[in-house]
Amino acid sequence: MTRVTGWILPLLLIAAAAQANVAPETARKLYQEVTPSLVAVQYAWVSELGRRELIGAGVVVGDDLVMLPITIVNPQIPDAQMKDFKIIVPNEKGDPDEIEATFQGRDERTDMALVKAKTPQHWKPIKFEDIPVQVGDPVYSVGILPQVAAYKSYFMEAAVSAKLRGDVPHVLVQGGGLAAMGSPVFNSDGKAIGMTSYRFTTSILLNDRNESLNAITSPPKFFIPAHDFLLTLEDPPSPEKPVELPWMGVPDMTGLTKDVSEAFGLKDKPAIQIGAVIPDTPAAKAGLKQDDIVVKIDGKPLERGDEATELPEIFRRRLLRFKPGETVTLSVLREQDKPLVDIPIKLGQQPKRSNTAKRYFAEDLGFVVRELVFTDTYARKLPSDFKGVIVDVERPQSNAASGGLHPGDIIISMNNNPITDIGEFEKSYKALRKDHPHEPIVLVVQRQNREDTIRIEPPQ
Amino acid sequence: MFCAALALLSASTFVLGKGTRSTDSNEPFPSATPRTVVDVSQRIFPAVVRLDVAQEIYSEGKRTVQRGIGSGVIIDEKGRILTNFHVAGRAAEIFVTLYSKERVHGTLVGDDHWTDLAVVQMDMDEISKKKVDFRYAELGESKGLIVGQDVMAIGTPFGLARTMTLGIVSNNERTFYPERMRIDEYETGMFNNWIQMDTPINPGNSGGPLVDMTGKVIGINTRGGGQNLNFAIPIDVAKEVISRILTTAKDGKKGRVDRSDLGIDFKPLQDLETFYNIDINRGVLVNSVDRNSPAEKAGVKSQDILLDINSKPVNVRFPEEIAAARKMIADLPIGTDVNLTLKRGGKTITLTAKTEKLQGVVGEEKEFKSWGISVRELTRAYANEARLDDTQGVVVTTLNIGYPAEKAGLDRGDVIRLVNRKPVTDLDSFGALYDASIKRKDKVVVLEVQRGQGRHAAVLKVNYDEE
Repeated sequence: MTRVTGWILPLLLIAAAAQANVAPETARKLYQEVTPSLVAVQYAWVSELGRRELIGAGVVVGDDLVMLPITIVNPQIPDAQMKDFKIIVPNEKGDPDEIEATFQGRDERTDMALVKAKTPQHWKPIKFEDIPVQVGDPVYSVGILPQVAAYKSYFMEAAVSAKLRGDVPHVLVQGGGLAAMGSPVFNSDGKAIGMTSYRFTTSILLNDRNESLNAITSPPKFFIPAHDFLLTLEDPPSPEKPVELPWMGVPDMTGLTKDVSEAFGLKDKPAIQIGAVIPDTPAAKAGLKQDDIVVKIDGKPLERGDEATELPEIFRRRLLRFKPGETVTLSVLREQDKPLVDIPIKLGQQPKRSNTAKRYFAEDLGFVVRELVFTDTYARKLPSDFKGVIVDVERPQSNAASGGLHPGDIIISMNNNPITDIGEFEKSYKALRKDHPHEPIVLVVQRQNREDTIRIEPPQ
Repeated sequence: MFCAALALLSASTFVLGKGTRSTDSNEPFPSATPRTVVDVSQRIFPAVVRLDVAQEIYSEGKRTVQRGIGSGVIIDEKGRILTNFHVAGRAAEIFVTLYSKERVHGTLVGDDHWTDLAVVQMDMDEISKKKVDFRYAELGESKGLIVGQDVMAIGTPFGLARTMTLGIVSNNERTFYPERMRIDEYETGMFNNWIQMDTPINPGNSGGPLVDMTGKVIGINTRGGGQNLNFAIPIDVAKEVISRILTTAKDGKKGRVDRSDLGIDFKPLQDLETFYNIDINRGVLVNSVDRNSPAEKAGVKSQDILLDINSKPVNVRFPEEIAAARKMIADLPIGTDVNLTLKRGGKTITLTAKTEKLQGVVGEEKEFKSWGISVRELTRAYANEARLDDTQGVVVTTLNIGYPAEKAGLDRGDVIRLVNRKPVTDLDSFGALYDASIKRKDKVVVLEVQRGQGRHAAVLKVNYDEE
C-alpha cells in the first residue's frame, strides 16, 4: 500500500532464500489441526445504490469468535450499511455451513476486526502467541482457498528472510510464500506467531472472480507478528463496548531525517516534528505547538523506523493504544540547545468519523448526504464548526448529477435556507419535495476553494 | 484542444512595409468565390510569418528553453507581429521567417496570457540590411461577423509552411463557461468570447490570422477542438491588447495589460430569476467571493445579486455574457474605489470596494542553482487555489535531482516560508536570503516548509566547489 517498493526491492535482492523442508507428516498434522479453525466471513454492503456481498478469510479465536483483517470491513463503509453477517464454516463432505453472526467491531489499534456467531459454537480457537522469529526459521501457514474452490484449506511453507520495522512491523519470508491474507502463520513448534499481512496483496476477497487465485499463483511474502495484534484479543471490541480511540489533535507530523536531526543538535535520535496543532484540541490545550520536535513519549525515546518517513505512523499507532482520558507526556525540543519541555497531554476522544455519520438519501433526485465530520472540514481547511451537509454518493445520470452537484460538495443552503445539520436538511428537503414537487431546488455548495450555486430540476 | 502556428509563400517583390490591399465591398459578408479566395490569399500571404520560438521555462530546478513553431501576422509598417501568448510569450529567442523565406530576428514586445496574445518586433535593421520585403495586414472588425460567412486561415500547421484553409464562421460568441481554461498553467479566456469556425487548423497554426473575404484580419487562430471545431480570438479583443502592450512597453520593460480584480466569481442568472425574485435580464449572481479579496473586505457575499458597477448596469443572464461582465471589472482603474450596487434578499445595498491588480496563479519564477530548485512568487490567486492562509513564502516548482533541495525531500508545490529562521515574504526576499547564504557559504541551511496542512523543517546540505 504505502512506500513498498523502496525497501522491499533491495531486501528481495539481498535476502538469502532459505529452503525449508518440512517432513510430510509434520505438515499434514499442522494442516489437520488448523483446518477446523479456518472460516470465511461474509456480509452484505447495502448502500443506497445497491447491495454487494463481500467474503474474506477469518481465523477462529474463541468458541464462537472470528478475527479477520480490517481490510475486509473497510472503515470507509458506513457501519449501518454492513448487514447480514455470516460465518462460513467449510465442510469437507458437502456445502459449507453458514452461521448467522454479529459484527463485533473494528479495532484500528491493530487493524483487525471481530465477528461472533449468534448461536453458541464449540469451535477450536487458534491461540496466537508473541514468539520472536529469527532469520532462517521455517514458518508454515494454512489458509482457505476462494469460494470457487469451496474454501478448501491449503498448506504453505517458507523461511524467515528479514524482519522489518516498517510503520507496521512485517516479517518477510522466502521460499514457497504464505497462505492468503488473514491466514495464521506458525513456527516449527506449531505455535501461531502471526497472520499473513493485509498489505502488499491484491487478493482480499474470497468471492472476487477477477482475482480469485492471485494469492495462490503469487503467494504473499509478508506476515505481521502476533505482538502487533494481540491487543484485539486481550481487549476485544464488542457492540456494547466498541474500541474508543484517543485523540490528541495533531493530524500532521514529519519524521526527522538524519540531516534535520543533526541540524537541531539531536544527533540521530528518532524525532518527530509537529506540523500543525488543531485549536481547542487536547494537544493545543496542553500547550503543544506547531514546529515542536517530539523526542520522547512518557520518558522513553521514540521507536525507530526503517526510515524517517515511517516515524509518524509508528508514533500514531503507539498513541492509538492509549485510552481516551489517559495522559501521555511528550518531551519536546522547542529551542535548540535548551532542555526538553515536558508536555502532559490528557487525551480526548477521536471526533466522529464518516462511517458513523448520519445519512439521508434524497432518493428522487439521486444523491446521498451525510453529516459533516472533522476530516471533511479539516481536509478543506474550513473551520471545524463549519455548518452544512456533505454529498457522499450520487446516482449516475440522476437529476442531481445533471444539475451539476458533485460528490464531496458541502451543501450550505437549500432554497435560501441555511443547512446547519442533517436533520434540518432532511426536514427541509422532504417539505420542499412535497409542497413544490415540480419546482427546482437551488443549493449553494462549498466546492474546493469556492462556492457554487446549483439548480436541480426535478423529474417532471 | 491544441494550439497552432504558420509560415509564408514567396513570389513577387513587395514594397517594404506596405500595407496589404483589402477589397472594400458593399456586401455585408463578401463570399468565397474562386476569384476572391485567390485574390485574398495572394494579398494576405506576404503579411504572414512563421515564428520559431525558444520559450523560457523552468525544468529540473533550472531556467531552460522549450522550442516550438507558430504563426504570426505583421500588423504595421514598423514590423510588429501579432501572435499567441502560447507561441511567443515568455520568449527568450525568436526567429521570424517571412513570406520571402528570409529569416530575421525578432524580440518579444509584450504578452498577455489572459487573452493568449503577444506582440513581437522584427529586427528592422536586419530587415533593411538584408533588403527584406514584407507587407502588413489590415485589421478588420470582429463585432460585425455573421455566422455562416466565409473565412480563411493561414499558417504553418505541423510545420507545413504557407497553408491556407477555407471555412465558415460557425459561432461568433462562443464561450467555454463554466470551464476555466489554462494554457500551460496560465489562466486564459476569462475576458473574451471566441470566434468558432470550421476552417481547418492544426498545431502550428497558432498565432496566424483568420481573415474575411475582403482580406482583413478578423481573428487570431488559437485553438483546435478537432472535428472542425476551431477557435480564434476576435480581432477587436486583440486590437485593445496590442494598444495596451505597446503603450506599456518602454525602458526595456515588456509590455503588458494590467487589469483590476475584485475577487468575485459570477454566475449567469438564467432560470434563477424567479428564485432570486429579480427582473429577467437584470444583474449577475455573485457565485463565490475569494478569500482575502477586495470584494470580501468590502462585505460582498455569495448569493448577492450584483446590479451595477459604478452605476453602470451589469446583466448576465447567459453564459455568453460572463466574459463581458468580468471585463467591466478588469477595465476599472487599479487601486480605486468602486461602488457596487447589490441586491441582498429583499434589500438593495451599495458597498465600496477598492480594486486590486489582477494576478494569475502563476507568479514570477526564478532558478536557484546551488540549491537545485526553481521557485515562484506566491500570488493571492495561488494562495486561494491552494487554500493557503496567506501569501508568505515561495512555491517550489521544479527540483534538480541529486541537488540539496531534492535530497532534503522538498517537493513540487511545497511552500518555503523560512530560510534559516528568517521569513520569506516574496520572491525577492527569498533571492536575498539565498544570495546571502551562498555568500556566507552556508553548508547547512534550515528551511521551514509548508506542505498540505502541516509544516516541517528541511535541511539543505550545500557543497561549494572551489573552482
